[in-house]
Amino acid sequence: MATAAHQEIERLIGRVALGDRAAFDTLYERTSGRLFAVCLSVLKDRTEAEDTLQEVYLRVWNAAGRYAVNGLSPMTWLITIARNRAIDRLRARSGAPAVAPVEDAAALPAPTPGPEAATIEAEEKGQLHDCIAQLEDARASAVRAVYLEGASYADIATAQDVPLNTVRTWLRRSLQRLRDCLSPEAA
Amino acid sequence: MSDSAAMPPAEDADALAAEYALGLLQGEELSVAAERMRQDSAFARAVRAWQEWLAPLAEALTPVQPPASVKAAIDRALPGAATATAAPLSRLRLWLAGAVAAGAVALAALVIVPLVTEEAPDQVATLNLPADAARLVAGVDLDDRTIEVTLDAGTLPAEGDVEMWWIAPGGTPVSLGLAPRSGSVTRPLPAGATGTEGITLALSAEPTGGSPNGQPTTVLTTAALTAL
Repeated sequence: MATAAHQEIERLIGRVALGDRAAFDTLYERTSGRLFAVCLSVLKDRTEAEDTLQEVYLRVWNAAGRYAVNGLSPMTWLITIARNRAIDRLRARSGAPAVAPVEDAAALPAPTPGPEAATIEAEEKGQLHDCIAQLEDARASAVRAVYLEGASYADIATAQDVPLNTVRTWLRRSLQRLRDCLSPEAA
Repeated sequence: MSDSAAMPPAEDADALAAEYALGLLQGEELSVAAERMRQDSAFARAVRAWQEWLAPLAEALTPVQPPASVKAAIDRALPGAATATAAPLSRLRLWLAGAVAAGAVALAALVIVPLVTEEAPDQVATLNLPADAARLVAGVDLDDRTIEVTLDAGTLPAEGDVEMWWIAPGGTPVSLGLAPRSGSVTRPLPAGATGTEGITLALSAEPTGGSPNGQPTTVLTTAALTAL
């Protein structure tokens, strides 16, 4: 995210911490589309995603005062809250279909950015995508499924027909390769 | 994961941090990582680094406009919500007000129920967090299939979050979302809930944002739902 937008979101969170409803409305306007996309991507159910989004923003309202101390960038903080809430709900669901109902398919976010988005992303977000692109296809798609769809080790083992502990071994290896690519000095 | 014993050892703290950030840990490994998150600042930093590194995946999703009803519901739930829109007083709050007016404490409500039957939830439970002098009151409405939880006294711990759980006899806990830091929240009953018989509610201490894997990290208290 461009620095100006980053600072603006941070400023809004700071205002929300003081109980500023107008700032909260603006923050919702600026960020709810992205956070709703995260909820839909994980849950693949509109009603559940709407319910989760509601929970996410109430959480943002209540936790804004503690944002400054967690050290995350503002969008990452918001995304992490949305993703954790959505995954919670996903894990709590039992026996529900793992695929999106047909009528919701058109409303679901694309799992990868479209061509234009990709061009914009390439400038600022290129590093992660480049690093994921260096992984084998099956591993790259597993990393995406875990992050964007909340897949568990068991889900990947089933989807790719590989034993569970094998999945864990190679996913960990993939994550280590990602880290080395993203942050060579930490390796 | 039933065969976690067969898992490779988690020697690499950074891989563990990544798994924690991604919500891949379960059971014992999860509790250990959550505790480490609170006590080991290098580990907490590694978890946050993973959250930052991976967030571009979410930012690359095409934004989807949520329906206006979501924002309206959020506005109604916020404290001091635009009073002009006259958000209806929550049923549980009315019921509590009735209980107080009748000079009864929350759970001794059995005797006053006839006075306020229209507003009363079908099942209630009181959850106390003695360390924080906090009390949460839950009421289940079987017609609406909802549960309403109100922070009735005290404040929740500032560190992390408190999460609410619905536990059926012999079942695994199902999250009811985060406990309210003020006012009330209303949630649908868990999809699989067939009734309220033998249901236990629980509160757990969680990292900020809630349980990373959908199961309680540290259970703080439990209470049985009681019929009115």
